[in-house]
Amino acid sequence: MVAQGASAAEVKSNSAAVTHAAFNGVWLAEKATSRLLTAAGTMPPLRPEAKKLYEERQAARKAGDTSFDRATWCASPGIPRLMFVRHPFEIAVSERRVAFLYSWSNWYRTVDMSGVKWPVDAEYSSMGVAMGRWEGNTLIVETIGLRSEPVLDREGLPQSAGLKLTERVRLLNENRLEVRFHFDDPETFIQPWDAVMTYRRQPEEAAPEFICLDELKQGRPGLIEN
Amino acid sequence: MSSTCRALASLAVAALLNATCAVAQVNPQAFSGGPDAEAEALELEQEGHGMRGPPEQPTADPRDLNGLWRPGATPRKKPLVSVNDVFALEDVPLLPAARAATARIASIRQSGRPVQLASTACRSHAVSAALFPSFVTAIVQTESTVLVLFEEPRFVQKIRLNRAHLRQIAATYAGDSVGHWEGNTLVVDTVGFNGLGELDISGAPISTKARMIQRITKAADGKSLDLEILVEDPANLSAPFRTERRWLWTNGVQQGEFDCEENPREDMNEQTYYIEKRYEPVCLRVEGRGAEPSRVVCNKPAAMN
Repeated sequence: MVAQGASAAEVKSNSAAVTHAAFNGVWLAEKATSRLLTAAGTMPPLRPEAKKLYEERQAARKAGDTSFDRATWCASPGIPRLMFVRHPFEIAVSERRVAFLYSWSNWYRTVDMSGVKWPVDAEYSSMGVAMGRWEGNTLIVETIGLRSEPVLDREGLPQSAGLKLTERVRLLNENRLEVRFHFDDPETFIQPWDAVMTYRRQPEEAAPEFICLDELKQGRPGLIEN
Repeated sequence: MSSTCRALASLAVAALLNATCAVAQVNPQAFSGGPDAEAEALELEQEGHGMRGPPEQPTADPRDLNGLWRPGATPRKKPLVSVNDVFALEDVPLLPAARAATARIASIRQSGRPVQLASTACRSHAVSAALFPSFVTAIVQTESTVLVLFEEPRFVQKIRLNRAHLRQIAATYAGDSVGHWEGNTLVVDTVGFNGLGELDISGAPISTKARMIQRITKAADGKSLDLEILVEDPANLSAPFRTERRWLWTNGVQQGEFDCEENPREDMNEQTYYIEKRYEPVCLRVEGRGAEPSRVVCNKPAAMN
């Protein structure tokens, strides 16, 4: 997991006025990860039951059983995991919505920017329901309604349907993006925790179509994580 | 729509296309452009279905396509008899080889075997998405790009504005879409297909030489989009195929999620005919023995054609 945040120079450059449209473009994780750690580089604070499940999954994977991980058969890895993998995504900002478009198997999510909070069904989808706002030049995305079946990483780090994910998305400079993930999931974790990822801007054509099922059929990995 | 039929649709299995859901049991508009589309869209707007979302009004700007849209009624000469018909085009000028391919698929279906096409095997294609969108489609527009986010099939059409096609296009299901405004009509040109995918449920093929031109015009009241879709394919069509669609403004609903790959069912696999070897699944859900739960097992893939 990428633990490093912005350098002093990048923070300084970020203090200049940045239009929201500057977020538009294709981004790729600088250090994709198959094992999610906190921003401090430590293990997320799992509750005992969740830790037991995590360890069982790790053992299963070592034994060749990946049936706990739906990405194995190209079902949605969900959010936030699609933000941790080595597949590019595109951001498109409009007044009403911010879209995150993943090159991986045509997945996408839209963030509603209306400012209205509405009731959200539990376990609505793997991408959840995202409501956002701007705080200066930082995009704040709050996601709920996430399904419990996806895992947070390849090792099988669990999440529950009660996960409330808050992402703080900001430009470190015009070609570098930082996303700070705040996990609030009392059923799974003893306390809320943060992870940080940075992304490098890519040319538009650097987000080619990637169809997981076709990759599997070719004998290649369906999801590239590090 | 019956939950059973929706579930079947979510599995994207060809069994659905053997008319397990008759029109009497399922409102075909919910799939794509059935005859009651306008009435259902109005009902959705007034009462809400599924997940509610915040209200939204269309802007007066004719070049602002942002918003949520739902397919309106598709003009058809023949009445719908089965769900299959919702995904069928009429009067397609197929060349003999393409017509023979569709006849072969029809005969396999008539023998009782489900047929898996790209569209039912979770490979979304720009042409079939444009022709047969189901449920809610979102459009997110920036200065340089119009993004059409289809709910089902799950597909993103990225329309780059005011630029030529890339010099080197990697052949894909999506192709390369570029657009420009002619007055207040967005004209979208898509090329660069990978030779997979089908025009409609008949299995009429789409070649690498195909080109799709969409002309999208927003109504004066902002509450609908008129779409003209033209498909040229000298390898399969004797003349360009042209059709029209109307999308209706949708308000106060949330897009659903179509995880097509979620449940690769073993029982649906045994009798299925796959028109391409690549569509044969690598992973299948197998039933557990005794109290053991079912789980998805992946096998080493066979060589692809």
